[in-house]
Amino acid sequence: MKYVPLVWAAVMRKPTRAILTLLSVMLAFTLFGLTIGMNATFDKLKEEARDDRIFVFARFSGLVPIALAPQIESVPGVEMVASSSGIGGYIQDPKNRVFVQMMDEKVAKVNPEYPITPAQWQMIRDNRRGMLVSKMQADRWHLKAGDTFVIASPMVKKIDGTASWTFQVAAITPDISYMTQGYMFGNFDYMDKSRTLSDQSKTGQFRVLVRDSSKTAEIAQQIENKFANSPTPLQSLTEKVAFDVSNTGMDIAAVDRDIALAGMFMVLFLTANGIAQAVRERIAEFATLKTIGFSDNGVIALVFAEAAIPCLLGAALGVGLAAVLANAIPRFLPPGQGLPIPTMTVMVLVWAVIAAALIAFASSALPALRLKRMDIATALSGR
Amino acid sequence: MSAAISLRNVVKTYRRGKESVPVLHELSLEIPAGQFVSLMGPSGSGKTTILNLVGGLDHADSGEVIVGGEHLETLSGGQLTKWRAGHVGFIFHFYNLMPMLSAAGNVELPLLLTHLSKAERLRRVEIALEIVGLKDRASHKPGEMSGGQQQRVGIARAIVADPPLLLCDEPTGDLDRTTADEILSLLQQLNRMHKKTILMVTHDPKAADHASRQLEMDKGQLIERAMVPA
Repeated sequence: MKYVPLVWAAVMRKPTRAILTLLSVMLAFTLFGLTIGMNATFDKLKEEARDDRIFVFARFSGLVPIALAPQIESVPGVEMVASSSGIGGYIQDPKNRVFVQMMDEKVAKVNPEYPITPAQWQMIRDNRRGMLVSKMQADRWHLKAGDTFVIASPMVKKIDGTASWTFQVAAITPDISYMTQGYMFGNFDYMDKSRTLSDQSKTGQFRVLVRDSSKTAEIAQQIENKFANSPTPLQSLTEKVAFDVSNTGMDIAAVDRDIALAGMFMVLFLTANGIAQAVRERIAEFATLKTIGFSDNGVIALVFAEAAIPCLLGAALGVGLAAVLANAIPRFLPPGQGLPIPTMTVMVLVWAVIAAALIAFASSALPALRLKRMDIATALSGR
Repeated sequence: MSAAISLRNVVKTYRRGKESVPVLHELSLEIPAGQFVSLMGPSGSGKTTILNLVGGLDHADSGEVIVGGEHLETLSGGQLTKWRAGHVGFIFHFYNLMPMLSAAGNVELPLLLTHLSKAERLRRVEIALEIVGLKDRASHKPGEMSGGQQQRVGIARAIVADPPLLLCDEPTGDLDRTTADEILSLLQQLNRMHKKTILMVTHDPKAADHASRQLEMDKGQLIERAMVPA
């Protein structure tokens, strides 16, 4: 601790340079926090995904007849098939984007991990316009149980020609960890019976629960095969596959890592240049320190600390800013569509600290080597 | 009186590219403890080389360099660093202060290498600054002080760890006559009252007059110019 004033004074010797370096490092670590935080969300999704469920939807887009549900249920190994569809739209103003997942009564059994009690599920059965709103969404839209509001959905027209869907908040329910923006659940039957005739008795997707999780992939293939030559060919994705972003054609997690790495290299070059310049400017001062008894390792430690302070401080501030931004992002995205937002876990901070320490070490290595090899007498003479 | 500094048959040659430049040739010197010795001579005569050898900043090619009973030629770089911290105070031509630290912060630097508590370090810094007459400027940074005051801070830094030997490399070379005389008087005081052995390199004959013994380097050899009785 007794060396802190010495190191701090060295860092703040040129305040403008120090502050600009800190800001650059902070912004790079904000990007790092957001990208690695996004990967933390992806990891969480993968962890939470169950291996006994399958999503089934139209292979070539569009809706799927609900009449296919019994046929899917007849596939050996299938326990239950639930239907869900979505109403995307806005509340009052197009910038207030929302997305409601309309669930049938079987979803409660296919997704038993949802923190919703049977009584709460029953509320939206009893009240067709009833809606279960997660706490995050309730806070965002200032909703409480009993409130009635309208969602305008230009994409999902009603049979009366309007696009206004009226809902009443039945209950405020706990959030689901991997639905990072919260959720809104409505009654599938309300949607189905209110739609234009051509879209009635159709669903966006089936949620299929299988009996034996070791056969999930096999059953998914069987479902696809069964409807391959039907008027509505289906596509099946196990939940494990669906929740794994590396299966989306482009490995987004790898892209995130590359972006974070690029940011770290930028910071490395910046701090390496800064610390090299700082040491070059103060070579006589370091020679003086060695003259009065500072060891090679002591001087190297001072240089490392001088590099580490902006890196570690910038990393902490950057990850903090990323956390603030991650909290703000849901305000600009509709909920329930599975659009992930970064999660600031402890591991994100740990990785940021490790990256900052490595950058500090790498950027101070060459100047430290120079100081270690420095001939004191020559340096003091200014030669 | 025992010898504080003893150089025996010291040879030192510098290499400049392919050329060898002999600086010290079989040089011997004895400085008893408690002496204030000035060392004069033309540029390139080897004055600073002697200072560097005595201060453990450089190694002789051959010969013995014994300071405070320690054979410096036998010590490794790390051992020399430790030895310097406890045995030698350096006073530089251009003060070599850390511009971002206060006077007290600069003086405290050698004490950071000790196991002294913060309170004890501050006490010693205060004493050192008092000795050089800058107790009231402890919080001032070098840029806020005159050259003479900066050199006083340099002297306080050199004496704060209470080393028996002070090595001064043209300590008044950058100061006006009056200020230089003040600094030299301070060195005399440190020599007489605090019993510091002082070896001072200078170009200035008037500065050399403040020493109790005057030496001059000429063509790699030492010439005794004057000895002032204590």
